[in-house]
Amino acid sequence: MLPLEISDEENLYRGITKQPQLWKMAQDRPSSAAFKDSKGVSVDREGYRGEAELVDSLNSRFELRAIVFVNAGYCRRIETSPIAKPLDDNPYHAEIHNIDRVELTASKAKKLARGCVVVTKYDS
Amino acid sequence: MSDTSYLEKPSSVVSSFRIHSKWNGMEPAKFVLKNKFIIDERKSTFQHESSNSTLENGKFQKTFIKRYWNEALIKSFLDLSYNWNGNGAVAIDKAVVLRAISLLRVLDHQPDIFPTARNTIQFEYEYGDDYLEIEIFDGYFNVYRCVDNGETEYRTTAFQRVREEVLNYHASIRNK
Repeated sequence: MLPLEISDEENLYRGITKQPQLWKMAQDRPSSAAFKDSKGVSVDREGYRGEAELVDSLNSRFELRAIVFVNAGYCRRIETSPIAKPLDDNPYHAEIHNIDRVELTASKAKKLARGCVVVTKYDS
Repeated sequence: MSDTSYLEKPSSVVSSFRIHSKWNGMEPAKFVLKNKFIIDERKSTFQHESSNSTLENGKFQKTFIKRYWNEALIKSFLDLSYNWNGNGAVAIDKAVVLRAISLLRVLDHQPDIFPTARNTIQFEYEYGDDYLEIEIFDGYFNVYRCVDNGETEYRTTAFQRVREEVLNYHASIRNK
């Protein structure tokens, strides 16, 4: 079972949907809009899986334009909180919240968008 | 009551534009299209009736078409299916869509546009590290500007203030 404490070394994966389009073609990365969610930014921890299994898992749930990850230590450095939120059907689920509330500010959402690493991209 | 007339499909307006392109050779005239854009063929300019600025004909087609593309995109956010982000997000409210379209129509520069999972629509301009974002909420705008590494963020309800912010942003990047 995964520990509930997310370490700074962990990477947190997020699928970027194809429809609606949240990918910025010119910049070749997601819009900060992809990191604005009233329920918190939903991400998957890698856990004890390999990246290939994780990618397959995300692809089975959505039609994706890309898969990206943000490092948990980076999330903390920009003053956001990665929180483990395991679900019955997804023990790897986590959320990124603002420090004092759930929703991120424009500035923090932009930092996540610019600080994420592209794992894989699919045709637009 | 809200004016929802511009929620009709944009194809009719685009076809008005195509009709306009066939007006070559006719007496130059000033036309007010259904959508409140004013085309002055004598001056070869294009203007929104709520705007004081005009665009030259060369920029006209690109801006005109992108504006209608963007309007269609914004309207499509009404039809987003439940759970479109895999985390229970719902379609964007009509009030937010109407507000976004109203803002779009007074802007002189067309943004990149994205929905969010917090019932808002986001307009973005990005040039290198310089960035301007307008997030449209139900009832107000959140403006976030990051230019020359200086950040500013504020809320406003004023369309004109947002329009000026966009103009100032583009003026600042023109000088770089």
